[in-house]
Amino acid sequence: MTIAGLPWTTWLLLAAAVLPGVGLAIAFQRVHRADQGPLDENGGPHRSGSGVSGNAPGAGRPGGGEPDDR
Amino acid sequence: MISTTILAVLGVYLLILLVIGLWGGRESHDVAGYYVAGKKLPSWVIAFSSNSTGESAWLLLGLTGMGYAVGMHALWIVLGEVLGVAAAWIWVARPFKAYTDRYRSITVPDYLEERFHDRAHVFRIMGAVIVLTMVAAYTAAQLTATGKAFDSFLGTGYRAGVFIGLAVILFYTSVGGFKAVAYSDLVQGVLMFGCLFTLPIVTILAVGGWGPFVEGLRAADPDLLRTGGGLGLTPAGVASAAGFVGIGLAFLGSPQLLTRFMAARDQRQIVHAAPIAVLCIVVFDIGAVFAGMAGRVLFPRLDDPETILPLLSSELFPALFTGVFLIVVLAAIMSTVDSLLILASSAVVRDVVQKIFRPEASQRRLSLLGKLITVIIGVVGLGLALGEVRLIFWFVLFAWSGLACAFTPVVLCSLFWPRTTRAGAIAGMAGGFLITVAWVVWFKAGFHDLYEMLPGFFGGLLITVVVSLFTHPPPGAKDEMRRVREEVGRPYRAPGART
Repeated sequence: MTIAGLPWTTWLLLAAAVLPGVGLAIAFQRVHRADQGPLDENGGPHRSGSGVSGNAPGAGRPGGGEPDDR
Repeated sequence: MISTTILAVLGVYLLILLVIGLWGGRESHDVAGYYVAGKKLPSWVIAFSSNSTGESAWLLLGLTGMGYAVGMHALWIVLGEVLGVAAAWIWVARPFKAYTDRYRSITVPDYLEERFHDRAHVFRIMGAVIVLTMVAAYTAAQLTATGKAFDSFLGTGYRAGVFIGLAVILFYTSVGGFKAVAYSDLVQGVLMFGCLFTLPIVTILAVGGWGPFVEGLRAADPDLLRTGGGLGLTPAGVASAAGFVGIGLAFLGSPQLLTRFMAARDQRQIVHAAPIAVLCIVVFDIGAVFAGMAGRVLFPRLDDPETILPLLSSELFPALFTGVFLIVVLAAIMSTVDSLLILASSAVVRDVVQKIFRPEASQRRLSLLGKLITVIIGVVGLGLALGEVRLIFWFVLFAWSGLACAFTPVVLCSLFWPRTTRAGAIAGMAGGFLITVAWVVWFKAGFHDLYEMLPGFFGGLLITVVVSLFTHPPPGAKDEMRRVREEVGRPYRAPGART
C-alpha cells in the first residue's frame, strides 16, 4: 500500500522519527511550567509564579525551596 | 561576478565571527569564563549551540550525500538523532546540571572525579588522552570538509580551503573562548536551520513537485523509496538501520554536548531549550535527507554524493544565495571544530595542568595556556587533513563514536544508578573507547559493517555495570542522588511525592 506515492512503512518511520521526540519535549516543558509557574521575559521565575526560585532546592513544590525575595 | 558576490557574503560572515570573537574575549580571562562562559548562557544559545556542535559538515555534506545515495533508508538516522536529542534534554541535562553546579565542575572529568571521589586523577588523565585523540581525528575530518566546500563553491583548491577555514576558527576560538563559540554557534545554527528548511522545498519544486519527485526516485532506483533500502530485512540491512539509529546515542553523554548543559544559566533555561533543540534537529535532519534525495532526481550521476549540496545551491539559486549556502556549510564545520578545540584545550589545561600539576597557576596564565593549546591542536588537525582527503560521513562518525562510547555509558550510570563505583566507571570508560577502536580495526567488516557506536556503547555499559557490582560505591552516593532528584523535580520525582 502506498500513500502519496510512498510505501506506508516509510510514512510510519517518518512519524516515529518526528512525533515522539517533539511530543515528549513539549510535554516536558508543560509539566515544568505547571510545576513552577510561568517564566518571565528573561526565562526566569515570574513574580506571580509559585513563589520559589527555579534553581533552588525544592523548587516547584508548593511551599518548598527558597523564597524569591531572599 | 558570481565569485565577487559570493566573496562579499563570505566576507560579511567572517567579519561577524571576528566581532563575536572580540566580544567574547572580554569574559575569557579566567578558566571558568574561557571554558563555560561563566555558566551564564540563556536557553536559545544552549539549544542552538548544542545542535550546531553535534551536527557538523557531516549534516550538510555527509547526510545530504547519504540521502542521495540510499534515499528513505537514511530516515533511520533521523529517528536515532531526534530521539537521542529529546532524551538528552529531558532526562540527562537537568540532573547533570544539578550535579555539576554542586561540584562547581566545568569539565566532564571534573564532574566524574568529584562524583566518584577519584583522588588519583584517573578520569582526568584518561579523559584527556581520549579527548585529544578523537578531537584530532574529528577536527581533521571537519577541515577536510572545509577544503571540499571552498573548492566546490569557489574553486580555491583543497589545501587553500583548509588553511582559510582553520585560520578563521582559530582566531575567534582562541580569542573569544566558550562565550564566542556558543554565540557564534547560535548564529551558525540559525543559518543552518534556514538553509535546511528552504533547500528541500526549493529542490522538490525544481523537480516539478511531490509527484515527479517520487516518480523520479522510483525511476532512478525503487529501493530509494524503501525504509530497508536495497538490503531489506537481511542481516546487513538490519545492521545498517541499527547503526543509523545508534548515531543518536552520542547525544546522551558526549562531552562536547554536556558542556552546553553545564554552561546554562540555570535549570529553567534547560526546560525552555528542550523543545527548541528537538524542533531544530527535526528540521536539520529531515531537510538534509530530502534535499539529498531530490538532488538525486535532478543530478542522478554524481561521482561524489557529498558534493550534492554545493551543486544544488549553485544550480538552483542566484549567486547571493550560493554565497549564503557556502557560509552555511562553513558554519556547520566551524561550529563543531570550535567546540572540539575548546574541549581539547580544557582537557589539557583544566583537567591536567590546573588540577594535577600546577594548582597554584594564575587564572590569567591558565587562560593564555588554553588559547595556546587551542592553536596547537588545530595545527595537528591541519596536518592530518592535508595528509589525506577522506569521505566525511564515516570518518566523522568514527570520532563521534569514540568520544561518545568513552563517556556516555559512564555518565548515564553516574546520573541514574547510585550503585556505580569508581572502578566500574574507569573500566567502562576505557572499555567503551577500546571496543570502539577494536571494532573498527578488527571486527566491523565481518559483522555487516555494523556501526561501532553500538558495540562500543553497550560494551562500555556492560563493563561499567559488571565491575560496579563487584566493587564498592563511593560513600553517600545514594543520598546525594536522592537530593539531586528532589532538586530537579519531574520527571525524576513524581508530582506530589513525599520527600
